[in-house]
Amino acid sequence: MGTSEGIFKYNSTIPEKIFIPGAQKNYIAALYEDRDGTIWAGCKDGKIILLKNHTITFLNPKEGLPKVAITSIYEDAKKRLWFATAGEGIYCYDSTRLYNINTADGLSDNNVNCLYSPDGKQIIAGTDRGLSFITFDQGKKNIHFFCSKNGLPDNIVRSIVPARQRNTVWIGMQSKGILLFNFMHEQIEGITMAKSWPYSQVNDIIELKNETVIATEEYGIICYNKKDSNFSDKVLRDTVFPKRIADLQMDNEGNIWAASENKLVSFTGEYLRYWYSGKGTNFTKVHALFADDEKKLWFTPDFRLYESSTDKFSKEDLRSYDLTPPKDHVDITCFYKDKFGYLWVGTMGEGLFRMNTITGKWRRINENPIAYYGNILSIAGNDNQVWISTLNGVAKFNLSERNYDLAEKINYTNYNKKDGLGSDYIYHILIDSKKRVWFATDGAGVAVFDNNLFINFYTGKLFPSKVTYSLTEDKKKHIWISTYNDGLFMYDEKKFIQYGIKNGLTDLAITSIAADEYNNIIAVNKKGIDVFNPEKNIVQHYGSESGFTELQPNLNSITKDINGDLWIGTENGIVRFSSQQSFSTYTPVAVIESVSLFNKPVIMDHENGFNYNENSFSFKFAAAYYKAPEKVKFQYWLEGYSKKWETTGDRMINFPQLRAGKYKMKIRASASDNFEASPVAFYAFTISKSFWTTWWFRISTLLIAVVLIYLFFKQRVKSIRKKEQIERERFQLQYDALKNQVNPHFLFNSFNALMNIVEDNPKEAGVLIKHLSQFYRKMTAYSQKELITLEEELGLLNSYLYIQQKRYGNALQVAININPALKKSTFIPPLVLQLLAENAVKHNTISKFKPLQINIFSEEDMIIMQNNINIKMEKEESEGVGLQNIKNRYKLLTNKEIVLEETGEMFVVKLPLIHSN
Amino acid sequence: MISWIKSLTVALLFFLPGIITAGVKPTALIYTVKKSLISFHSNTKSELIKASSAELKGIIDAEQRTFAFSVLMKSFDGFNSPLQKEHFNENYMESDKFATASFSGHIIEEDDFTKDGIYNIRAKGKFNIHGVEQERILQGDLLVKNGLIKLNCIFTVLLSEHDIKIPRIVHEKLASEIKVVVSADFIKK
Repeated sequence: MGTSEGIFKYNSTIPEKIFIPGAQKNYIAALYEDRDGTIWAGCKDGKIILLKNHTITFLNPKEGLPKVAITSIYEDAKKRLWFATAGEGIYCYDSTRLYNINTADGLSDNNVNCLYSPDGKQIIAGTDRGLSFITFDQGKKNIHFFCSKNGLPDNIVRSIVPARQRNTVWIGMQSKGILLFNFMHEQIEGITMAKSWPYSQVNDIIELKNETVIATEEYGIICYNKKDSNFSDKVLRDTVFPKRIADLQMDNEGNIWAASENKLVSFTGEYLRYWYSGKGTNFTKVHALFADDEKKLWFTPDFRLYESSTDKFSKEDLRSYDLTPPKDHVDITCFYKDKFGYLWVGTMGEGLFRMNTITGKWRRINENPIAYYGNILSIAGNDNQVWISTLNGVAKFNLSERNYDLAEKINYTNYNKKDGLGSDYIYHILIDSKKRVWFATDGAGVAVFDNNLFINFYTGKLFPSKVTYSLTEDKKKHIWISTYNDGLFMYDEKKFIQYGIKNGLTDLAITSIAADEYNNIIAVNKKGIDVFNPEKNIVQHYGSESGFTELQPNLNSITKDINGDLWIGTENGIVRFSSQQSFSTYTPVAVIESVSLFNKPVIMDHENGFNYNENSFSFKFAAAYYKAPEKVKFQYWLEGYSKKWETTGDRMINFPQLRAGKYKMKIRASASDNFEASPVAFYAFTISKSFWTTWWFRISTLLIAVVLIYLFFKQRVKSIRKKEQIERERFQLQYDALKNQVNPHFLFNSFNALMNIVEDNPKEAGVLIKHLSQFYRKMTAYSQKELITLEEELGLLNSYLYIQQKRYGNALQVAININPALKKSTFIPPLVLQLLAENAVKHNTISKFKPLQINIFSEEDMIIMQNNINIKMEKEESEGVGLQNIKNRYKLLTNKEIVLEETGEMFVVKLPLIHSN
Repeated sequence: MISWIKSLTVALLFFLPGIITAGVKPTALIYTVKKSLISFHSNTKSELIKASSAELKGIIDAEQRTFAFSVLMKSFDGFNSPLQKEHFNENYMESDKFATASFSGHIIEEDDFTKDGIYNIRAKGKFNIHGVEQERILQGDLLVKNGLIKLNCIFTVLLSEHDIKIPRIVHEKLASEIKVVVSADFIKK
């Protein structure tokens, strides 16, 4: 809606104002939606606004903008937009350049009021000086015009709108009304009001099936009745229109919207309307009505018989008849017109009448007692047969040539329960296209008379409903049956199919049904009118929202005229229903209005990929349904999240904390409980996985873990092995030490030495014994340990060397020079120095001429032991394990290795010292 | 001989509207260019081509709100190099074949330009360069004071619209759009 206050959007709930920066009062002068869904708004000051995806942009062409009001906008087949202006002619915008077309180019006038293009190529402009026809291709403008000198009654053209007739448009003028214009031959085709047009300036026109609706400047809505070529300013009974109507629009539901000074009025166009005289005559209590083949409508308001035209309705054309004088209050229940043109009139309690519609002469059918005394509920006929139904069974009249005479009696046959008819109470009779006679009964469901036999479907349990009211046959030759509170049934020659609330019917107490031209079933109930399309399974309901409060329909008070329009009799008057296919299958169309991520709108035509932490979505949706906005319900289904449709009355739904994945939000709307036929709006998006949930991350993590575990175990095995080896080496040492302890040479030599000195120097011998015992004790003690202090080792070594020196005397020279600070702070594997000394003693010849010199000294972090080499001739038995044992123990305990150097003269062993732990 | 005819047609081209209007309305207010500068440069940061001319000819009919302008292509000078000028005249503009660029038409705004004032105007007309005519609306400012008119106008020319072909190598360097700046002083005739 373009208004003096700006642009409003109305989708049948709450009008929403669209903020336009810099807009003042009376700003928007023209609105247009192009094929891409962009809304173009033309402003009073010549500015042009584009609305797309909730964003507003101002058109800013290099050529500059018009400085006068934009009056009309139109898109041509080349997707160029045409702008009519009040004073600068027409502008054409091809999305790169803006072109101007004005009087200098041959335009009839620079004041252009309206634009329209019937084919998208030629633009017809309505100006203050007639019509201009414009083509603009490859920079070439081709313009010619049609104005008063060509016969246009009024040069000021206010509106050009499409017309139903081929190659024509409707032209609305400032003071001469409307006309139908053939744009192919450029000539006026129909109605001109050249002499007098009392209804002021025409602002807009909409052509309907039977009428043309005209918006005027001072007389509100004017209707032009195409059937009787009359104009009327009083068309709608209940709606009081404002005087000035600026614009008309028809929505997808068939509602017509009229924009006026301060309100927006919608009405149900012509498809559904209370029929009334226009002179204040209201007809109530319409128990029966009948549209005959002569465009006459027979009906019975207030217990009188009336005749009117189905094309127009005015008091002058209305005829009324009195039956059964002097008592004129007779309740007419049904009509039928026979092959001779006589009208049959059934009454409640007053029997059956046959009437000459031209003379008004009638005869009460007295030859058949059930017709004479009975309550006639329904009359149906076919060629020579006329069937009537009563509360006492049915009667079949057989017309013969003699019955052209009204006075002649008619042959008949009566049928009731005794003849096989399930019930004597028959509400409705239908003769179908196969000439079978159908009966809607009270108590025995539906029955059919075929080949002189009655079949009661109820008794055969083929049909579940006891009480049936109304019958009709659709174009597919299916029989439709309305029931008391069981909804509708359709018979397709095989079975009965039930339709009820789940199919969208609003009420199951259906009083009358009829099939329209488009195979819809019109079911009338106390809430209003349901138009049911069985093919698409869609129900349109016209009730209080469409202006039909308290419809109070009467049983089987429905008729179809030769135009296919339906007439429905109610307690409040006559309703005319013009079925139109596009409207009858309309369902509210759901649209996703906005998608928000953490309450911030997402641009919807963008790529819809999101990060793992962009996972809280809300969707706003809407569906315009102006007929009954409160009836609109939605179903949503977030594919990837749930497995089925969920129904909601809300227009918003939140999905917090969605997991990574592919999603498709689907929305559909319906005004009934049936969503199956509704179009689906959707928004697909993807939430990507967090990197730690991606497969490559998982696999690489797994691999790393496997490698780590492997390395850990490897390390562990290694350390265990190492420990084992240390143990083993220690055992070896212990073994060696033990072996030493019992080494017979050593003991023998020791005792020899002892023996030598024990006599000479018993004191010294005592010291030797002490050293010997100390040596064995220490060796036993230390060999259990992994490490001992350097001091301890030196003590042991001391004892050993003391013993050996006693044996060799000066032939063994030992010099120990160790930094005393190291003695306590550093460690050494036990018996290393002793073993090395023992080796030196073992492998060298020790004599006075060639004394063995052992030097032990510290050097930085090393303890070095060196001895001169004096190889023994005969080798003492040795397993060579001593040195290897030392090497191994060092390797296991420290990272350092011992260094062995053999120069030929000197044997050097460098032992790294171990600092604590 | 040929150039003589050419200059005559050029003269006719922009005096013709003046002659016509002057013929119809003897009291017409015709202004002609006294001093002018028309320059162009490629519409990019680095000025790959530029030149200017002081030889813009033109008339404005302040009453009829019509105008006609013309400039000789060969009058442009001040290129980046003499070679560029040669290319401009011989290769791009084909100045021997299409000697002038012109713009004639009428002013959309229905202001009274006979009165002193500053007017922001849109001029609608036929823009012809390199022998190709395009309908254009150009925006400009008119300062009318004491029988003098000052015109300032900036617009762009799309080379493709006027069939101005540029060798591919140059094309990549040269913007497809050329910016034109016009300033002109008019005096009443």
